Amino acid sequence: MSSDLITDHFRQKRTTRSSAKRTEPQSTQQTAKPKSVQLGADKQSSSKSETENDLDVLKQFDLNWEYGPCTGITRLQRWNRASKHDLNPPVAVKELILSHSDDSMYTHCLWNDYEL
Amino acid sequence: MFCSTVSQDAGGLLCEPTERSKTFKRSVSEYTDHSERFKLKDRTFARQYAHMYAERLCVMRPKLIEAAKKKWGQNVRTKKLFELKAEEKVVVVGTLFKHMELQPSILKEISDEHNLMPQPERAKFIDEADELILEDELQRILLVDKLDKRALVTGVVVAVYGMEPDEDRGKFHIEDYCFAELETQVPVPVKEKDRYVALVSGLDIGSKSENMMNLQLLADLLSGQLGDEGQQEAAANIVRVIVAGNSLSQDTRDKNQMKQAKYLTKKTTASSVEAVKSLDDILVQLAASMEVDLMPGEFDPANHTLPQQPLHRCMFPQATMYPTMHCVTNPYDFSIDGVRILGTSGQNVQDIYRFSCLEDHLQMLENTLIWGHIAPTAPDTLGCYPYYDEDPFILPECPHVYFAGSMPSYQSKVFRDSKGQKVLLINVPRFSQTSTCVLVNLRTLECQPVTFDMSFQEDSFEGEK
Repeated sequence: MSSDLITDHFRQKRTTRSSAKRTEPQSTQQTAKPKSVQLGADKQSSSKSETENDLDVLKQFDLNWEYGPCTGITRLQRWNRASKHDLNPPVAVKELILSHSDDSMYTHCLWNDYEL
Repeated sequence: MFCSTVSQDAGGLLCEPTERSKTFKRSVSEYTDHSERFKLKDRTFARQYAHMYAERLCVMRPKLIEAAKKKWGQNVRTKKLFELKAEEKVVVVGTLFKHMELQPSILKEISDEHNLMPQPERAKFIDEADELILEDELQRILLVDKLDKRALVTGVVVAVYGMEPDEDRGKFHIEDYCFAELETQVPVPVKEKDRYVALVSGLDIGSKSENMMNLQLLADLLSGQLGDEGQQEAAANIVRVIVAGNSLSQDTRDKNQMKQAKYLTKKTTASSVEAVKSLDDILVQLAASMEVDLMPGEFDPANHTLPQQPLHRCMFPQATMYPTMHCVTNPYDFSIDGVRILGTSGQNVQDIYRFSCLEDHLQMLENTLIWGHIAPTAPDTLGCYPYYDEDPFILPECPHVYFAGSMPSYQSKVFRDSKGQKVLLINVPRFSQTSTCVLVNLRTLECQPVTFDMSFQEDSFEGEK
């Protein structure tokens, strides 16, 4: 621990759980120079960006004030409520949620991990 | 009115015994239940109440904009609070929040810094320093002028016309305001015969002041065992009885017993057990001969938060043997013979009494109709289930009869709205204190109280008025 630079740990993204899984193979490479870790990060960034984009779209859906409060309900419930009031939420968001219906990163809101 | 239409030559009570006595058949009415929205499907309490307020504003906003355009012209501009510019006259739609210093707050109670004495029990929590704040989806603003802050409560959705002056930013000076209009009423079909619905509330069984004798008289009247043949014939026109809450008394909710440990209360039974048995005895008499709807009230063994779910049928083993016995929700919405009746057990009116300056309970009931919402103080000061995709207390349709139970006295009024629609408002009094029930005539949409008096007076024997 003491021999590692803090920048090795710091480069890891804290928020997404999927990137936490990816940092495990990265940490095995940490004994090598920091540059190789950076290369490895670049190779995975292309596949990461799609998921990131999706999650960003969902995050923007959460933060949009027109559809009402987002905490405490699933994104699908909020989407259904918004469409019931004719607010025309984007269909792409619904498709994203339904295609990843088993992943709570997609189905639940941004602040899901925080208690009431 | 109730008995006078019956033929006068019907055999009086003092006549020779006959072999065959006349029997009368009770009238049957068409009944449709509209209370589905009050039944809880799932019970997730891990949600905040913001969803309910957002829903309320979202549903009522179009209605208020329509009412605003009717009142102040089609060209009037509606803006949200974040779009407000200074010195510009616009209409803003939002939810009222009444900031009351004396409102009981759990945060103040447990706050160590304040060292406050616990607040004395009050009947009303209003104060001169209360302020009205208008909230929409994103912002809030203080309201000044015109609105009578003492008569309004938190949770009412209102459209205000006015402006925010440049020198006094953060305050909205109101010139005029309006509430949502009532929906169009479905017209009542014309009937030939009189049909009555009996409303009774506040039986308060299980208390020292319970009036079992008068209750028995009521059961006898409704089941046609009271009075001569004329009265029995009239009683056959009463098609339904609604027990509007507080069938059990406050005394059955013994706080000491509820807080005691289970091992200490093993041998004792709750006083509500005896009370429920007595209630079952009365209900079985009623259910055997007519349709009965039992609504839960503040002190009944049902959930505390609104909407209260129906009492469980296992509590009334005798009465539920009959298919005419129905346990229903509070609030209760149904239509009978085309007449739409909506009512609560009175908690909504009681809460408005606590947080406004109004004293007249009928006025408060009328206000809930004007505001378009059965219980605007829910969930702020009145316990409520945390809905997220609907607010079931918004009036969906204009009722023909609107009642509240457990009121201190009988009051009734015909309310006319701007479209000329009539709504009969009824305050059903507590039976334990007034021994009065209310009969609503479905043909003429009028109501009359029926009082049972057991006092023996020297000049006249008043068995029933």
